[in-house]
Amino acid sequence: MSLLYDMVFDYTLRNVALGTFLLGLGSGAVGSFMTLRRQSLLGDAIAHATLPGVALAYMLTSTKDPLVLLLGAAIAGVLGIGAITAITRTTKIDNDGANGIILSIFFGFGLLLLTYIQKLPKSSQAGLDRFIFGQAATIIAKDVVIIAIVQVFVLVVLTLFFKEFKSSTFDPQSTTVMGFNQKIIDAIFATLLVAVIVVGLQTVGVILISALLITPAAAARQWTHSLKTMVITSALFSAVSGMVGSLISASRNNLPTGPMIVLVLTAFLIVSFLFGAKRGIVIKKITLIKRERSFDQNRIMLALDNLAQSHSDSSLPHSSQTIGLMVQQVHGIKRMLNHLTQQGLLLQPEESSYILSKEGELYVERLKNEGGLYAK
Amino acid sequence: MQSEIIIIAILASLACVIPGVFLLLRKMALISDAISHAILPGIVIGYLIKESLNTPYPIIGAVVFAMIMVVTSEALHRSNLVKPDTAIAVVFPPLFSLGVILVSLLASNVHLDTDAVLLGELAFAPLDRMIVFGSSVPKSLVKMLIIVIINLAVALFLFKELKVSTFDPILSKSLGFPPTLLHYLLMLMTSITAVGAFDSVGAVLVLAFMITPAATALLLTSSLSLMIVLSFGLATASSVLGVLLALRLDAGISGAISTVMGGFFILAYLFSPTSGMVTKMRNKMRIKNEYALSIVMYHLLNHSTAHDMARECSFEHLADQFSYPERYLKKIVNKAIEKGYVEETNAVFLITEKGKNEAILRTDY
Repeated sequence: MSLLYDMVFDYTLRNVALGTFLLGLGSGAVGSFMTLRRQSLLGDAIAHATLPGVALAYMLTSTKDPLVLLLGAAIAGVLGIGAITAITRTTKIDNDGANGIILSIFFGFGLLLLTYIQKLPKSSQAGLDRFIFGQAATIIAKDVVIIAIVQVFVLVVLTLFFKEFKSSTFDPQSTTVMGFNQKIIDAIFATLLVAVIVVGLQTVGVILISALLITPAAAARQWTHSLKTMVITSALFSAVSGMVGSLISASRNNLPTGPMIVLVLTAFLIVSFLFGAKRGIVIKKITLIKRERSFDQNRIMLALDNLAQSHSDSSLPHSSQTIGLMVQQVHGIKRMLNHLTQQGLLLQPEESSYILSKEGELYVERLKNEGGLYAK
Repeated sequence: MQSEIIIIAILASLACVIPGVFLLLRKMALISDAISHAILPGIVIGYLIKESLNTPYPIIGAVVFAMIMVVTSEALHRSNLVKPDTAIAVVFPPLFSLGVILVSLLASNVHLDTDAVLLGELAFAPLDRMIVFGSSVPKSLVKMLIIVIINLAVALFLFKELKVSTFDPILSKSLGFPPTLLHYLLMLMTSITAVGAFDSVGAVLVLAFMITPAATALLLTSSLSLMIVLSFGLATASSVLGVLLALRLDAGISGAISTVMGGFFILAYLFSPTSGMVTKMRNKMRIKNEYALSIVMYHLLNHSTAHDMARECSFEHLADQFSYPERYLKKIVNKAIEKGYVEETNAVFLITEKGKNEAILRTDY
């Protein structure tokens, strides 16, 4: 509870909590589209590519004003996206390779500049380092305002162009046919991507910011098949994890923020993989078992119908052994027969002998009309 | 000291290039990035056992975590929970984060810090020495040399297997070289190389060392063996120049080497004789010029006997007919005159005998 109390009344913690929460909203939303567009690794490349922008902005202006540094980062990010597009379009290097090349060239150059700045006499570079792993504790009120403005911008644009993004994500061809300019949509999307990455840099750091985009989206995907729900869920996962992770990191010394947020996000992801309502492993297993049960049940019903037809006296009950011979490889046949009797589909005139009831006959009739064994 | 740094840098980049070429061609470039990040916790745990990076434990730890990363991401996309690229993107960040948090928590009693994790400390590599055959050499030099030899041996010994399984997995399977086995072999090679290069190159830039020289070479050639040789050359040159650059600027060595590698890539991207942008542009210009020359000559040929020749073969008419800019057209006509295809008399262009043959030859295509 004291953490909650501090969140509301402690100045630093309030900024941290609010800042990282807002940060998560935009990145989670943008990330949903990226996973669906198979661009999960682009975010990583662009995030790394912003580093030389930060370093150059500092070298040129000698200020650590976040606005200046973030502007530098944004320019480098846009250049990075442009370069990746150019390489994939004009050479035989594939998308993965282009991402890797731009990531490593830009980041290497950024590190060169950063280490160069560090060795410069009388320069107070301390603080540029935080762009690498992020330091949520350094979020001040001014940063929260910047983050809030950018996130509102991102969310508004996403809402305005939701239809275009949706269409271009799932069916680029028909989007073009409908008269939308794919290039403009891509450019708007790239702007959003750079925006969420750049504002997240000082909190999460260049190396792990892409996790804030992709991990919540992958988690949200397990819960829904609707894009709108997915975007909202992903934004919330990301926002909550951002806040929780940064608060944990702020509560102790020596706990870097970016990695902490990633661990919280991954916990969300693992839970979603297991229990996600639409694709989760447990749900899938349950569905599979249910389907197997109904399949076996249908086999039993059809077998009894078959037996009734092939005997002159159709009112003769058949023993569970006979039924077991007809439907092989059904586990727990007795339990299933009892279950069917309880449902009223079977009658049990003698001990462990069964026959179709009136309802059972209707059920078999329906099965035959609706696709046999596989009907539900 | 300086020459030792250069030698270690060259060995590290050569070691990285060998798996890098195959990873790039298999469209798995970013796997190497993911692996080089994911091995961090393994290295830290291995380091903690003996408080040293020069025991086998960090390598074992790294290989274990690399395999965790590869197997988990493959299981995730095979189970259809997420797409392949997402699978990679969600698996390596938590592993890397775990490593960073371990490093940060143990920072007080561990000689590893986040800078070392990112940048490596090539500049300090010659300080940690061992005795081999009576002479003192840096430990990382020996380590990298061993990895280069292993990678080279694997690449030479399994060259055709790797080649076939890279370009045609189905053929490879039917020939009896299981692509899955080769895939895991490559993953193993990548992780051993990544951990070996880790303390000199740093986690993030292992990717640069693996991919950039290979990609540059890919822009220059389409032959696999030539690509490997070229990558070796590029890696060596980048290492030497990068170390010199870093020493001059007093900056991080691996960043400098990556920057030089990036410079070579940009040069190849622009000027590669087969696929460079400038080359392509010049080819385009050449084709455009040739086309303009052909069409002008064909026009002159067509009208060389007509009664309205004086008008048809004047410069004004040509300019009107082809809507080329006047200066460009002048250049084309001058070129035709220079080559002796056309003669100018009283501001009328006449096609020569040589020009006629040429025009017919050109329009024959």
